[in-house]
Amino acid sequence: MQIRNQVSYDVVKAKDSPYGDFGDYTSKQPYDYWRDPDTGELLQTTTQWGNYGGSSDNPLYEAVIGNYSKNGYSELTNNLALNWYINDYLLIKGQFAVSYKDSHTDKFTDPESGTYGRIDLFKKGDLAKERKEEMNWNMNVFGAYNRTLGLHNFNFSAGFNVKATKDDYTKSKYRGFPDAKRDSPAYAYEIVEKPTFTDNKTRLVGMFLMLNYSFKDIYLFDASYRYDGSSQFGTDKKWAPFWSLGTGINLHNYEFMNGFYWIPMLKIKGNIGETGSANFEPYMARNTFEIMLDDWYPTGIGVKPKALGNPNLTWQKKFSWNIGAEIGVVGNRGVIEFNVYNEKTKSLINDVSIPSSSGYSKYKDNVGEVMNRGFEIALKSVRVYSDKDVDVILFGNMSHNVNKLLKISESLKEYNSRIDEFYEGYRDQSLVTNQFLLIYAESNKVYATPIMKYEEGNSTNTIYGMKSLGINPANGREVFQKRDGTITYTWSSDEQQKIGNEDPWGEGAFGLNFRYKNISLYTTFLYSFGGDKYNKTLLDNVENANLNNYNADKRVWTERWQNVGDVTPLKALKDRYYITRSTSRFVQKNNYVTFNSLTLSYDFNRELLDKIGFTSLRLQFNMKDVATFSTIKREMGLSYPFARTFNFSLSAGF
Amino acid sequence: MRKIWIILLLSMGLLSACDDFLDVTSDNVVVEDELFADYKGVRMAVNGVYRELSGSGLYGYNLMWGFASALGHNYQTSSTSYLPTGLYYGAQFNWENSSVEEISETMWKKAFNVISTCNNIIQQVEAKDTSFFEVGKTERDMILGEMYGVRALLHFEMFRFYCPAPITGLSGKMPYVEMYPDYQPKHREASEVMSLIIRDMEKAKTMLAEVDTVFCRSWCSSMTSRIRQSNSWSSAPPNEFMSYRGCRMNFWGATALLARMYMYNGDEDMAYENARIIYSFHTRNWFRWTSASYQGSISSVEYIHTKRPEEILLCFSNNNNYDQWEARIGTSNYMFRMKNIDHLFAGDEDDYRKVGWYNRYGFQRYLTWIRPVGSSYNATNLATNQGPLLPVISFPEMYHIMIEYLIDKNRIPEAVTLFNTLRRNRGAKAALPETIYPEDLKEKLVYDIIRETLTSGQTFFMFKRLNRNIYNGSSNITMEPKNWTMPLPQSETDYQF
Repeated sequence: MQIRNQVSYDVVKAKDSPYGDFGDYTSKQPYDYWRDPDTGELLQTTTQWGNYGGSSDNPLYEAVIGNYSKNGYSELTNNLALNWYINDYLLIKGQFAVSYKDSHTDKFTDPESGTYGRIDLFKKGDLAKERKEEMNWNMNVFGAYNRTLGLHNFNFSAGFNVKATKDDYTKSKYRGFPDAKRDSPAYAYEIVEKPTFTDNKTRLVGMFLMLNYSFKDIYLFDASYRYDGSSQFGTDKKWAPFWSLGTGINLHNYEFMNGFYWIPMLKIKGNIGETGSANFEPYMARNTFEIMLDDWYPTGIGVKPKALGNPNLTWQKKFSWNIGAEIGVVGNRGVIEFNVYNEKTKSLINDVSIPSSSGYSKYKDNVGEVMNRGFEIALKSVRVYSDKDVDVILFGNMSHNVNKLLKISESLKEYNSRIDEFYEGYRDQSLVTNQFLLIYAESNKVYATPIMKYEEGNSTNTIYGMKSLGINPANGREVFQKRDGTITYTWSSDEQQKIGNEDPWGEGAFGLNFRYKNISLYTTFLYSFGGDKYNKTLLDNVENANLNNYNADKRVWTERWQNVGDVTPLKALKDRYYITRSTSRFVQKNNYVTFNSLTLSYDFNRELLDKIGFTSLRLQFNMKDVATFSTIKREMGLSYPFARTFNFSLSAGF
Repeated sequence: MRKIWIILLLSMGLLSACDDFLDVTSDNVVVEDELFADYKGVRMAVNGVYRELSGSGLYGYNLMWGFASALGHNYQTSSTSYLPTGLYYGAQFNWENSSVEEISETMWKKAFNVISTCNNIIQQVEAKDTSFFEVGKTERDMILGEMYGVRALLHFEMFRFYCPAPITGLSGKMPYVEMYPDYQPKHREASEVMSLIIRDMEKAKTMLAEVDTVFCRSWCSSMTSRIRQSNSWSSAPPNEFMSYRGCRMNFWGATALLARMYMYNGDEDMAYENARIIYSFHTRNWFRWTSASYQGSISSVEYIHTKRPEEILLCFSNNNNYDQWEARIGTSNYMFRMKNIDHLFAGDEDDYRKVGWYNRYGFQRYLTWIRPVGSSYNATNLATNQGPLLPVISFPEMYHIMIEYLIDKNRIPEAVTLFNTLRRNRGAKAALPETIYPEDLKEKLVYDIIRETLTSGQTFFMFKRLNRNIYNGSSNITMEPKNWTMPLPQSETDYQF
């Protein structure tokens, strides 16, 4: 019997960079003044151009004053593990882990910050303090029985798992500080709102049984069963059973296969099973009331319903089967794996819309069916060439998946029509001028990207929008084609159609491993082809760029229509504040190959090392994101600096 | 091998114990079964209903000094600097405007959300025995009566917005929801909706009659125990849940609302009958006039009982009323200015509703919703005790109903006597002569109703009930049939099967 106990205590303290988001700098105009041209002092706000108003915070100024955002935690964990070998065949393992974590976040805005502008002195300076205490424990008990009787081999295991978490969370906000040095809550003029205190408990219990059986190492069989319960699911549906059955044949272990020396391994396998997931909040399954903590009614504290619960809501269930083969390459040079699968997700969970006189606008229900079907091929490190000085090893894989909505319920159809309704919120910008144009543009931004719709027979990753015929060179306006083939300038939600599919036909990775004497090279590539993508950066930074407030891509100047006769991919510059809605003009083929990583290493000679008392010495160079070849031009590094990382490392063994 | 079975059996045993182990939730949410498992939870649910009623979606703004008052043209409506966008377009009866639609959605959704909670509480409470409650049958009747009453009241409010006035013939359709949960409430004929509203309110009145006039009698006959005064204790035994009846649906509120509903439906006899009940309580001094010294016959604005709590039969309560008002006004000097006040009070310059309330802090605003500025005891006391009140119905409306009934029955001297009492208590010194023509008297009545309902959201519905052009100073606003009735919100019509 072995008993082991491990205790650890971590303390972490972190502070955000005062310089804020990178995007705040890239979006500034190159001709904005951030320093006073005469005195050289940092300006509280950058220059405002034009009459429309707009953002003028100076991120550099904000960085040097007393703003801060700090967080940290201390954590204590204790792990107790027990291994009990009862006899040669039976093993029991137990594990009990407890942890306690106390974390905090403090965010302070200096009263001198430019964000306050012209407001009451008593309201300048904000402090938000958050604190979270988490207490978790987790227990695993697991027993395994393994025995070979003649040609039969059994492996039977069973276990259970219990997990509990408890969180306590407090948040308080203070306002009005004299200056950045006096940032303790004691200096605050007022507490902004009643501090929040919440606590949350979740518990999970799971149990499983597993059986593996093989006969002569040729016939394989396995079965498993899981029974899971969670406090997060409805009262009636706390438990869910899942199972799987599998079988396989090791053909290469038959005697007649000895003749086929060029197939060192051939295994055929099949699997069938059902798994589930519960991707909904507990209150969606049972009627839950929220306590109205902010205030009381004269006759006492009150509660209000959180949502309309559906006690019949069940786990989303996935039924799947797959058949595959593992084939050894001649001379034991590697393995090729092939797998065909089919998955059907039933009782897909979604919103059901109901008339608001029911008191609610929606509830969750199990609706719809989705199918995923495809195949996977993998070459697992195939040695192409090998001798004393040289190794060439290749690996690669590809998967192909077809996603299809088989069935959608009435309620999902309504979801589609609700999207049409959502688009009605788009505010007609041709009716307004000046600063209202900008305000409308800001509120219309949410309509710029395509919204997911469900249509039978299509993939869940289908992109919907208006079919575009491009920009009319005569006036710079976009011409759309309706479903019936007629053309129009007007965008309308019910004329949206399938304009692309994000699912690639195939995707995967490949790589090459090459060694020459002591030098090795290791590379990996990722690729994808046959899918579409809505080019959001082109849309946001060029087509819908807010030129009044922010800097923009130079393509605003070169690729947008300006004069009669211009043939351009982007709409007229004069319509720059009109927000473009989902159109096929921004759907682009998303084929790419990414050179994901490159590693070059050199191992020093053994004989040389022995003399200086080392057992190994290796010099290594590593690089990530080496290059990307893509059919889409996307802007990167605007909101976060694009980085190429290079690592040199030297590892030595004594 | 045996050990395995022992372990298996043990874990099976554990699992059966697990059901209880899994019964945990967060601290600030309660699962329905747990909430209705004891009387304290039921009380919390009832309090929650009133908190929701007092929110800005309903009586905290839209149905009180916000949308409804803008429709009644209490405020300056000539430009968007006088009113928030939705109210501005609402005052033009532009129901298609997106800001108006937004208000319509909010109001409708909130009303039916509260109705569904009422139905839930009714179903839960009806399934419980009287012994379940701390105060037995009285508490059970109280909760049921209140919930039926609130259900009727909210349907009535929606009926007045979304169905044409009964005077133009009962037409239109809307849901009347009596069940929880009802995923597809049936849309019923206006006549059916109206009769269900009255049926439920009558039920509320009956159930609450004994509760309020017998059990709660001792703490219902004075204003200070009907409406919560901060820093004072309640005299109500055995629990504060039974006290402050003025802030929850009560017998008098239900009776007076019935009078309002019958009147709206054109049944003047029944309206008069119910108004008489309240009148008799009033003459026995249960509900008194707010005295002249608290209405404006003295100079200091800090003395004014802005909500006239002595006269309130039913109010709701929201501690954020002043914040709401200030937030809607922002820094503007123009928002929520009153209009036509001089014209409206012509001949009655001393009327407290003008001298006491109008333009007290400048900007031509009405005092009811403004935070008292002074730091005197009066000002702070007023702010804490009256600031939160949202008067739903007060007894002077019963005078109006009785006067209108008496005029229509050609009992002019009785009408004049009542009217003069009302006017005297509002500081209008000139007594009306008994020889007045009925038409003139009725005209005076309409003006008095406008004066009485300023910023309380009722003006529009008086005009709608009478199908009469809306008062707007020297020239009225011409109303077309479509102006009176709002279309049902899209969130309702789009998902009806």
